[in-house]
Amino acid sequence: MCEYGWSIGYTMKRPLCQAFALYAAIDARYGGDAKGPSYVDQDIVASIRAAGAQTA
Amino acid sequence: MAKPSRKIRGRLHPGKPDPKAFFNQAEVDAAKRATETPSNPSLVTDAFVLGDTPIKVGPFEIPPVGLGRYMILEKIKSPITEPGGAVNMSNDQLAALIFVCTKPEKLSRELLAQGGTAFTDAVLELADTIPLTAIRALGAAIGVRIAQAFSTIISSASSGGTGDGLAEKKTAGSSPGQPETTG
Repeated sequence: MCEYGWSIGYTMKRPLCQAFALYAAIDARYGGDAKGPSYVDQDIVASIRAAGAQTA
Repeated sequence: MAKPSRKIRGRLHPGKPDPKAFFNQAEVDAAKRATETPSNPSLVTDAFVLGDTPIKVGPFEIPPVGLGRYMILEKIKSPITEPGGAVNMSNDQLAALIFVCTKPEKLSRELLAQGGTAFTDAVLELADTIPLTAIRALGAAIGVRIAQAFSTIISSASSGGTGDGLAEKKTAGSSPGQPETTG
């Protein structure tokens, strides 16, 4: 919220999916360790699943 | 957010299937494309392109779930905020969920602030207007909406799947699938 200069009212109405993405970006910028698979990792898994489903 | 280049291990010779290979060639190619394309991850683009798009079910419009709306769901102790809670949801709980997720956030806050039965009365009034056949579709659409809300959370439970069951309560809440009523 402070990072982007948002008011609390604006922040509370932001879609959570956007808020989490921004939070992850801020966390990465400050050198935080990801608590799980990154978006790229998740993209890879989703692509493999989609390809596997097509070839099955 | 550009993607870093990564090497994907797989079959080196498409013409000679390796019985030890875990992925087939199509899967290896798909994984390579996902890492080599210089673009934002699809989860992130979906969040910003589709995240604001309302979902419509009949006359109802389901806006994106923000922190404010989610906290209202927590305040009324909606099972949807608990891991697996969407499975055993009563009709009353489903009606309250539909009310919070389709009515203006401010209205829910004001009704809860009034105390007493103001909120419950408003929920029941809304429930009387919803055809039984529409309740299931509404519940399913809200389930999709809430799963979408948690699609970009990075936690140890992140799976990169299709949007169901992604989040852990310990970090921000649950990501339920389709709510079902139990009567």
